[in-house]
Amino acid sequence: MTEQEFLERVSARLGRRSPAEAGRPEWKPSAPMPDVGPTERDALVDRFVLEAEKLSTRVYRIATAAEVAPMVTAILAEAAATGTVVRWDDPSLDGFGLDEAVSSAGHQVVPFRHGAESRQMTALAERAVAGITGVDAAIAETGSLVLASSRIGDPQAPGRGRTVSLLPPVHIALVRKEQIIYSALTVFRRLAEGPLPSQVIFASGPSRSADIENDLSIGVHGPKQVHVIIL
Amino acid sequence: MRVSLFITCLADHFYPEVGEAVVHLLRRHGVQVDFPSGQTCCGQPAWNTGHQEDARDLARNYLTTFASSEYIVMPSGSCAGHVRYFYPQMFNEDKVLYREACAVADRTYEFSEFMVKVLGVRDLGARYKARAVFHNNCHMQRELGVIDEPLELLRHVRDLELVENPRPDLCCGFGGAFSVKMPEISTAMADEKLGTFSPLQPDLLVSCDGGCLMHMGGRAERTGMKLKTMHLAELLWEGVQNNGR
Amino acid sequence: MAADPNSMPDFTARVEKALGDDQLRGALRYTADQLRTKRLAAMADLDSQAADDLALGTLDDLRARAREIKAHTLHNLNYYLKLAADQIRANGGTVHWAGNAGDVVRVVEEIARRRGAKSVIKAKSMATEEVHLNAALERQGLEVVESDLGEYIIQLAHETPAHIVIPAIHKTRRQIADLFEGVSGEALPTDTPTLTAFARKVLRKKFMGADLGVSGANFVVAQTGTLCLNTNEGNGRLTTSVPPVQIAVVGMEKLIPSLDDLAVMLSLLPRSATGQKITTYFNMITGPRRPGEPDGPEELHVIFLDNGRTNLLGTEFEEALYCIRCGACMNVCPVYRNIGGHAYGSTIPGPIGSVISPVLNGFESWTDLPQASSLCGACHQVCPVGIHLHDHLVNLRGRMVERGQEPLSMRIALSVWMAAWKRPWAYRLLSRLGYWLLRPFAKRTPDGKEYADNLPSIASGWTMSRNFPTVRKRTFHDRWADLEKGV
Repeated sequence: MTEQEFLERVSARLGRRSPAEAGRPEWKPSAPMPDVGPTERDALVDRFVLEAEKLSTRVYRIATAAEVAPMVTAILAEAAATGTVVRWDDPSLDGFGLDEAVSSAGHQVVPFRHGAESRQMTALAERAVAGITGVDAAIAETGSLVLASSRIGDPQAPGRGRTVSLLPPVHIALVRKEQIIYSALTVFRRLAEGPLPSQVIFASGPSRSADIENDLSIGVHGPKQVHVIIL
Repeated sequence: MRVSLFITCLADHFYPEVGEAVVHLLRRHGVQVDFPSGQTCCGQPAWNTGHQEDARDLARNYLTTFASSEYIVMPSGSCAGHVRYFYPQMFNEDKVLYREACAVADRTYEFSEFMVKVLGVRDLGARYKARAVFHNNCHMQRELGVIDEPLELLRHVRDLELVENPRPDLCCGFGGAFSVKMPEISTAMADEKLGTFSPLQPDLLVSCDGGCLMHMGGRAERTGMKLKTMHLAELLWEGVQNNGR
Repeated sequence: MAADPNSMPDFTARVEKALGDDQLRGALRYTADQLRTKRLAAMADLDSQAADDLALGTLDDLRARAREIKAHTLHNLNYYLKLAADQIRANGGTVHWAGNAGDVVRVVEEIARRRGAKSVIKAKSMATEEVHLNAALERQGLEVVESDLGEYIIQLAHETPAHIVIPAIHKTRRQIADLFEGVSGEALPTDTPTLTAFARKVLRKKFMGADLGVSGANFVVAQTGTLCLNTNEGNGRLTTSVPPVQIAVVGMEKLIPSLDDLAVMLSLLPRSATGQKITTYFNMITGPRRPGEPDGPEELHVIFLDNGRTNLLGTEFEEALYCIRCGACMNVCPVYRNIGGHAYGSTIPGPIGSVISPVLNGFESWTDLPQASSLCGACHQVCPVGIHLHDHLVNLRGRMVERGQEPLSMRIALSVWMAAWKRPWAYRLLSRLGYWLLRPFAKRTPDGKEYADNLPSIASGWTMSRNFPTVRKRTFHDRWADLEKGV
């Protein structure tokens, strides 16, 4: 069926002679969306931690940038075998000496660079023991990490990829305190300013299923462990 | 205060004592009761089976019969629900009838709702020894929003041990013609519903609707489950007499 | 899956099979109760959060907003479809228009041919179930693998889902282990971690080798051309991230105007479906991989599907297109919890399935389904978009009576009965007649109560499993004279 035929059928059902007849409708909900949630940083962090931990996310709060790399290697030492560690190639992960620290712990670090060959990168992520990302935001109300395939509002940003936080069994995310906002609406409003990244994920804890006799199981297709470091 | 009784077809044919109980209880509280003889059925069976024109005719008969009534009270949450929820919808294309339907719907009450909300009585002075569970019928709780009123009346009955219904949301499977058209499903629902009562070991099942009582009672009788069924009004009137008041 | 009413046993036979399967019914009730309890807790939490200004609104607030969004979108659906299509194209995607099931199959087959595709990985999608995509693609020699754990189990068993949120609910871990052994050729222990790990390993290989990823969408934001998917397992993310081509089959009612509206719908869907505040993954896809991005699909195709949906548009049943497929109506339905999805047979079972299936199919099929309800209204009470499901079931029964789709015996009985009851004198005459007609069947319990247990004709439907009270010799009408005197 063509677009024209499809839209004409719909219009006819709505009592219009042609799809263009009604023009652009005005959409104004009868009540504006309310502003909700706290704005104080500590309250936001506390709520995020509470919700994230309910979903089996492991949260670590650190005070200084110097603690990032040791924290990441400590998590890797506990959670992952030695092997490939993939990461976003993003400014949010720069300046912590991450690659050096992770390499000296015996892993091979592979950043997802802009322009890299897709099949190869996906295959690498699939073999990786862990993936390290930053976040675009963290949602306190639901304990969610917002992970965009490119920096929001900047589609030409360096590489990030969709699979770093998806294919490896362990996902480590670095969240800066000031990135924690209260609700998804704030993220949607920011996204609405456009242009949207090709993919935005709200990830809330490790992958889960209850498909076998209603029994909760963790790590079905996505990460089995999610570690969040709050700086 | 004057109340017109709408007996409902089920109570008229199968449970006339329920109507008698309602009349006695209303009179005890100073209400004048009349019984317009032109009444038949609210039309719910026709409406629910898709015979919408027949249902409208029956509704018109109700509107005419009770046009001048101050209040209309009936011993069925389901029929009251039909009048209040569906009558206005049925006539939404006819301004005059729509207004009439809304007006009559506003004056229509289920028995326990009328006692508590309009008369403001909770303790009818009844005494009845039993371990009872109350089943709130679906249309009464969802279309009328009557949930606590019958429980209030029961809580004030002396010697009555009221056990909590574990799944008050769950339908008993009656559903009017549904019970005859889809008897296997309907019976499975009755069994499930009765099964939720079993661990509580009640000896009495109380409801505000003849349909549910007929259904669960009929199934309990067939399966040999020891469970007496009783309409709330009947229990209260017997209870008042027991108490020698 | 085979939701073709002509190729399955009739409804009564399907119901009988379900009612005879205690394991299925036990599992259904257990699952439905769990989901119901979780939903209740989530909504109570939502209301209390809203009271403290910590949520966008109470359930009632959000339901009202959602209804407004849906009504507005549907009344301007042609505009929003065009807007969404333009945006998807601007984002680098391709838009296809499917008037019916065959159109979807043709579009996907064409893409598969052009890409030389051999294998397809699927995320859970009711729209693809509706158009029987899997079977069609398999006939073309493609390997199609369902990646949702429950759907995968069902696919291995060659069955259809018993529940829309938890498809393999009727399967025990032993049965699941047996199905997996059929794949691996070796014995597996039956604990959940082992079974899950096995499925992860097998399906991960399928993901990595798949040529096409096929998904549905929970919402499509017209303003930005964004596809939204809610999943817990992560298979939705894999399907839309790993294969070189992504195809989304989207019912045209999934559109919402803006990202603000998405906040409302997202607050309602997971809470209603599983009692979660949000699903583990919420996925927003705005186009295929952009130049320079290190991964993601090269092509994104969106297929907008009508397939009978216009039959509801602009009619009294339009509201049924508000449905966001949360399944809450099924989890509270006393009929569904006793017969399950297989007995309904339609792609979407339960109260909403009983409403939309006959209308989507032009009243030609699934006409039994609207009868399979006691009209208790529990469905309407929980519906996050407030669809008046039991009203629609009644209206459908009305349409079916108008179309003469009613058993003759029932039509005759009801016509006579209702004709008499419109006249007060005939009503009272029928009462008398009823008393005498029941006399030959009357029996007495030891305590003197009269009943019948073997009535003929239509009434045998009742007495086959329940006792029926007899009509009283003196009805209330007869007794009123005495009562009046007693004043």
